[in-house]
Amino acid sequence: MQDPALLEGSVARAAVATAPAQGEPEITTRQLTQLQLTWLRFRRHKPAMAGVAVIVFMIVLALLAAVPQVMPESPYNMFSYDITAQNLSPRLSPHWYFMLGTDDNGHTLVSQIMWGARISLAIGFISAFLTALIGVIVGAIAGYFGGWIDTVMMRVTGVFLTLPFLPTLLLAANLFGQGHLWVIIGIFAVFTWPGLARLARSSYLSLRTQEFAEAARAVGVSNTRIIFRHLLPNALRPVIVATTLNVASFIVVEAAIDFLGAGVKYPDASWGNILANAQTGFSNGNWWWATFPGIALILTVLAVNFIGDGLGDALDVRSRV
Amino acid sequence: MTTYIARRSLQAVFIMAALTVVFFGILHAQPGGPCEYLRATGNPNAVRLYQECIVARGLDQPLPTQYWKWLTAVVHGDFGPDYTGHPVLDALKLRLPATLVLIGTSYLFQELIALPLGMLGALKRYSLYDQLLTVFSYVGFAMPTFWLALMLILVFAIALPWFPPGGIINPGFTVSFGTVDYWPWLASHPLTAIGDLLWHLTLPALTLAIIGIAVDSRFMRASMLDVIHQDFIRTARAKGLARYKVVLKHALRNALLPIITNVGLFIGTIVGGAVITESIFGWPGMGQYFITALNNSDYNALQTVLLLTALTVLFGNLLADLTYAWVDPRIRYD
Repeated sequence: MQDPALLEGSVARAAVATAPAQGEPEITTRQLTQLQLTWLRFRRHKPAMAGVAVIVFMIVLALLAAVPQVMPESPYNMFSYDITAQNLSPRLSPHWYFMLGTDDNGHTLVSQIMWGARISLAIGFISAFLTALIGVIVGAIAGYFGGWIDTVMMRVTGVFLTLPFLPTLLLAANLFGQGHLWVIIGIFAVFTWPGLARLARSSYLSLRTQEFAEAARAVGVSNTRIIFRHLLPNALRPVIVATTLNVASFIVVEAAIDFLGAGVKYPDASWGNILANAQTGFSNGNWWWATFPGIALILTVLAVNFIGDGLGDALDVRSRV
Repeated sequence: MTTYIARRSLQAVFIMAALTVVFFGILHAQPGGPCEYLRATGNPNAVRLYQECIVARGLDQPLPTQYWKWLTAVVHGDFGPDYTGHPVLDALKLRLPATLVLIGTSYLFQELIALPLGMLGALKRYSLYDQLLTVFSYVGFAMPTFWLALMLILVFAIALPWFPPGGIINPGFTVSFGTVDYWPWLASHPLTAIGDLLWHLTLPALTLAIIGIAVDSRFMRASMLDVIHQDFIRTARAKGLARYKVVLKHALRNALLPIITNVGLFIGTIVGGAVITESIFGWPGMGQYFITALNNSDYNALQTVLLLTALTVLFGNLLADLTYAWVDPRIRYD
């Protein structure tokens, strides 16, 4: 994606001496940490930077929803108007005040989308983090110790990976009746860690035989410390990229679960359940109700995917096609 | 090869056995149950009917007993009644053809479009066409199926009423899809029947195909790019072979190898149906059956759909691995 020569040049320029010591021809170089190098490369990935901007925007929207001066406690209170008092049609097409229009009951879509952003972002990021946490721990133990531990753990992940994904998640969400945010997050974490466990395992399988790991073992470092302090930083790059892509897929799948009525339900507005409700507006020509929440969803997912690609380039991980 | 297939099949048996326990557990923990709807009717005899239903279905027995009874019945090919009292097997006979029609047509259409698109993208890398294809792929990746379905309905069924917003057959036809009466009717009015089916099929199939094209064209592009930068392609060109010959005869065949694996994985998705698309378009297939069963905590129906899905996934994966070895002799299993 990037011209490698250009990239090297920029890194080299950044590493050039800033203040040579007085009287000495010695060149001191500014040390760049791995993180700074990654950031330098990431910054050059334009779609990824645009993705960051979109996500920041969505996070601001999501946070604003909780500020009482901006948004009252419910997505269905704010900017709604009294149909009987103001001789208006119960639904309004987009115009300057109701920017994205209202639903058929006169509730503005802007506040519903803002509250929906809270749910989508929380579910996407928190459950992707939990999935990575469980996956890395299981994968690290399986890959590092090998033997029967590895066999047992990989058999278990094998069973999990055979589960039909959406139907199982629907069943699990239904199991807890009223779809609560944390229940959905838990379900995602419980059912999707095996993919990451396999990823982490393959890294650990090759890392554990490398010399620095042998050396650490030879000087008596404990297994726990080797796994989490010595090997983890080296195993983390593919995990970070996969986790970013997980955020995107969780946001979509959660919306699908809400859409099918097994997830977050009415008093809370989520992008999925707004879209499910929006089907009732089709018969009277309310096209904006279904259009805008979907666009918010696509923008967010697109942004996360771009960030994932940028991270993949910056961390030099060959991600998906 | 035979031992490999035998070993994989044996593994599949163990995985299926584990899955029956997992599913049985998840299902019987569901709120309500297949008799619950009887209580909600408001019928004065509701409580008695509910009790009778519980006893008739053996739901008052301990779970291990229920599990064993269910398992022995399934092994003998009896999946039990669904919540309406009709055998699950009869429902499958109605719904599997509907799902096959939807998924089969959309998949065929999707590959016919996606493979040439992806191939061209790789050959004209970084051209305007390739960039447009990339944008389309990214948006397609990000777009949820259900939103695309809603937009297609809004545009092509409501704003421009060209296609029906749902269903599989014109209600005026007095027969319903997949029933005993349907097939003779199809045979006697082939043009009307197939025309009507295609008319109803267009929007749901398009929904599935558009997303699929976004994914598969990208996949094909990557696969083709991998191949055309290899030495044997350069050799073929250096020997003076025409570009189109090299592309179609040498590169395409190799680029298709990973795609063939996809066909196996696709087979795994058939039985589960397209849960989302089917329920939006009211397509009476397996996916819609699953959602109805879910809403009624219909243990037998859910269990059957889930197990058949898992079984086809396992079979599809095995098939993918075997075809891969068959088309690419460098891969050997033993």
